[in-house]
Amino acid sequence: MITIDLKKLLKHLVLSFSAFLFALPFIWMILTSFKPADEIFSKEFSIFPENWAIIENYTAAFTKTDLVGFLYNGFVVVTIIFIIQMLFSIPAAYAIAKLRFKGSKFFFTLVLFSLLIPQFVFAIPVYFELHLIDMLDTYTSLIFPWTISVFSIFLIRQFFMTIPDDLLYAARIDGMNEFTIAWKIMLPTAIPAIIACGIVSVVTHWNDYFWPLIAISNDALYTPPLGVTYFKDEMSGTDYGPLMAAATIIVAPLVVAFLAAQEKFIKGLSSQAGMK
Amino acid sequence: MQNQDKEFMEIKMQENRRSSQSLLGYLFIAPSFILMMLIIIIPTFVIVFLSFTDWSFGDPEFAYIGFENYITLLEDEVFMTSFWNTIYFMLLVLPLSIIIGLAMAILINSVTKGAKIYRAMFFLPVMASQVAMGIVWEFMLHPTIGLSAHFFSIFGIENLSLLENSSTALTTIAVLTVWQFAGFNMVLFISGLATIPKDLYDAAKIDGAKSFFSKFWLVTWPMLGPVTLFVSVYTLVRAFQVFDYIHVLTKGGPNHSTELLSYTLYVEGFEYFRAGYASAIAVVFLLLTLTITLLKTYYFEKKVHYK
Amino acid sequence: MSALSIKNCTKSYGDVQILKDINLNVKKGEFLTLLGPSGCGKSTLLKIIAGLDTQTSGEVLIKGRDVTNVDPTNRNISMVFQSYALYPHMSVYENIATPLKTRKLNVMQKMPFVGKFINNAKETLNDIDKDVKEVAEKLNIIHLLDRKPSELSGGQKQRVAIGRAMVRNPHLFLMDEPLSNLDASLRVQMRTEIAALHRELDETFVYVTHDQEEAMTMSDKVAVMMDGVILQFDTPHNIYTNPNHIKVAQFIGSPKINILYAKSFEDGKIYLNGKDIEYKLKDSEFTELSLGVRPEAFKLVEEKTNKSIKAVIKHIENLGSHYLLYVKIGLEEDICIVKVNDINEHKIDDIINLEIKTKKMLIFDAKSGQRIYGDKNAGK
Repeated sequence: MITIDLKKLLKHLVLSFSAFLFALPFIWMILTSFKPADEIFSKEFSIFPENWAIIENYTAAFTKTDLVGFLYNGFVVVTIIFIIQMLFSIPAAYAIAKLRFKGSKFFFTLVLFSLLIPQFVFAIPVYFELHLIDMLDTYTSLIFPWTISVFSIFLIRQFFMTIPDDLLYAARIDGMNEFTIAWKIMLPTAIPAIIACGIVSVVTHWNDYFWPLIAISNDALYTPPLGVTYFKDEMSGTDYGPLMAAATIIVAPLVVAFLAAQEKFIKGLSSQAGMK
Repeated sequence: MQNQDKEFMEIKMQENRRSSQSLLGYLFIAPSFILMMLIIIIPTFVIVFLSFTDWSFGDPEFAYIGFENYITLLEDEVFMTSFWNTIYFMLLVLPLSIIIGLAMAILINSVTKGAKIYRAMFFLPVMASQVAMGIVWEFMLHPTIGLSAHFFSIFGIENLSLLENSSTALTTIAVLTVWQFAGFNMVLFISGLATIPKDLYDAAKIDGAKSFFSKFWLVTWPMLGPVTLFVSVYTLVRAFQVFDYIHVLTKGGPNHSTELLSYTLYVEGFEYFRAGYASAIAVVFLLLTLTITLLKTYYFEKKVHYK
Repeated sequence: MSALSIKNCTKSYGDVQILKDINLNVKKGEFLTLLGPSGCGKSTLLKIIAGLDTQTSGEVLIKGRDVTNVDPTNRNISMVFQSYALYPHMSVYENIATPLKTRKLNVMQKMPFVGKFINNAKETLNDIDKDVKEVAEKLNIIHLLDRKPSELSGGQKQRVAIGRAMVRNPHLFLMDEPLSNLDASLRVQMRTEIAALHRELDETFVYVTHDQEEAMTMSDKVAVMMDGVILQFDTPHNIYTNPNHIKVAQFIGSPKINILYAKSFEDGKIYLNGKDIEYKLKDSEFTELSLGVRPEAFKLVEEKTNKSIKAVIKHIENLGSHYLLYVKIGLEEDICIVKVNDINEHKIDDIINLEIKTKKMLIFDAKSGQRIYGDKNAGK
């Protein structure tokens, strides 16, 4: 009996230690955001702050740059992107899953092909398109390339495919028109898929750095990741306390959301892998 | 006479229904179709086209120069460094993130208490902005006041700068990337492990597989074949697109040692605005991505598919 | 020395007791079936015998050796699983060879390409090859050796699973409901094959099933299990004709045995529906009785007799070789099934007279379910 407990203990030890290592950057980030500058720079090593500087650091984070503004931009952009994505993807997914028309297969093939194209490839032309209509450096530029989400079309289509056709035939015989069918029958089934798409979309676009970097130069429009680098440059790399505070603030919303809805996050984000 | 009328009406109704379905279908896909064309499909063709020109952003005109851009790429030291860096980077990130992900998945699967907590902690890095965490890592790896500095000083090593040292910088960023990817892979492996029938382990025990390793080679590893394959592909494709760490932490330096294809593309396209040249890089980028994905499809159908 | 001996074995998971004091002795070469409904503990017991699970208390002895702390690998047993548990990524050949390869080759020799060249592995591999082909020959699957399990039918997979079990010539064959996943006709065929295999190999088989037909046709001995206890351990014939508990009687036999409510008084006579059926009990202490009458233990009589009882035909099934009459007897709630060879133009709703062949009648105490015996001289 002793042997079994030893094995279990060892497993937990390894897991705990590794988990600790993985969480270490987060822990260190938060701890540093509580420390005053002299402790951060001192040669003496201390894990916990002796004098707490939470208020100073976090206030500095919010006042030295427009952190609130960056967060606001993030929320706005992420929300609008998701809404537009759903607005366009759900009908498209329904169409190729359940409606019969000539272009259906071709469209689906296009979707599959598009899944393979990384953003680095279409960035240059799309940038130029926006430049042509003079829409760079606006909210539109932040949102436009992501209005199409082939991933969402694909995922929601898969969900719709699981609804038996017979159900739809019965509804049509009962006299329901296509819109009612889409709204009352199809949509409720797709909610888990919509949630998964939402999670993927929000996480991807909240953390997106590359596209805002090239599309935006006006710091009033900075999204959170841009905001943090702006902060870093402004601080010329010395105000680590407030910098860590800013990083914590940027990272917090998603982390908290994740801890609150772990299963959904994990399911949602893993479904992305299945696509490839 | 009446029966014929009835049939005629029914056929008409069916046709109407079918054409109304058609109309609706086109209506529903129209916005997505237009956006797909504008944002993904046409740009891809444009990129390929541009790669054969010498256009710079802002130029009023451009000339067709054939494969010159590609030849220049091969002679461009920065590009070739970037290319081999990317290969090295992928070769480092792939096995590490898979081994760690798989090991953690197996461990978590075998404990009953705390599984959810462990899983959450490994998965956290997946969620966090590469930019924010990159900056945190930079601070942690600071040669004098960073956490690593305090750690290394225990061994008497002072002033070690991992990110500013051209021989360690890329490997360090690879480690950061593994840190970010391992949790995701772990989750995929966990669901893969759940699909292995318990009976097989019983059969293996009776067949003589006593130790953990013999059971692993006999049952676990073969049964995880498909999962491992698509985790590998997904990891490669993602590793390929790592950009944030480079731009925020090293800007490709020191001495181009951390220059990756994604970064080179950015610099050429959006700092030097050499659109034609950058397009050639983008085409290389695209070809590499497609090759990885297509290899997987081929291999998947051929070998691993034994359901 | 018995091939398998289980002494006072119990198994609990927390508060739930799955096995309560199991005692069993199996002779070498015997075919024992553990028979019972789902949840009775038979699969758990089999896993304990295999070593895949450990008992909470008690001993398991294989060939006189206490194997409680011995790995499944070293118990010299083989197991065939309900789901076959064939390695999907290996060919049939590899599946059958695995038990031999895992044991006979060391770590180095098992390596993918170079293993063959290490330490005379080639010789061992040749021996293994012979054994595998021999088994495949016997089971008629030699033409399937290169296929993968996904390319096989249910019956073929079953044979491969059996082959994998046979190839090591173990002392004890364990089978966990191996035929449940096959369709009815295949099941009947495989039954005879397994029985033939048992005769040929002359080794000890422990077979788990919930199908009483399998148990009856294949076994030397049957252990009827319910709720974690062995209710009866005997030959199939005895279990059928001489069950020691009403639950055993109800589980064995198809169609199911009919249970009639009867009373007995100080004189030991039995009254069914108030009628004296001319049978006496040995012990007159039991007053509430359950009479077990199998369908074939009824006799259809044309004229009323002293001990006949009235019944109404509710439904008739014609099975070709015989008829099954579904009847309602007196005030009994449940329908009884009567087996007759001829129905003499009777039809539904007819009232008929039935006599009970009292020699075949099984009497149980209505309260405990225990078997009660009649006076030897009772009944005509």
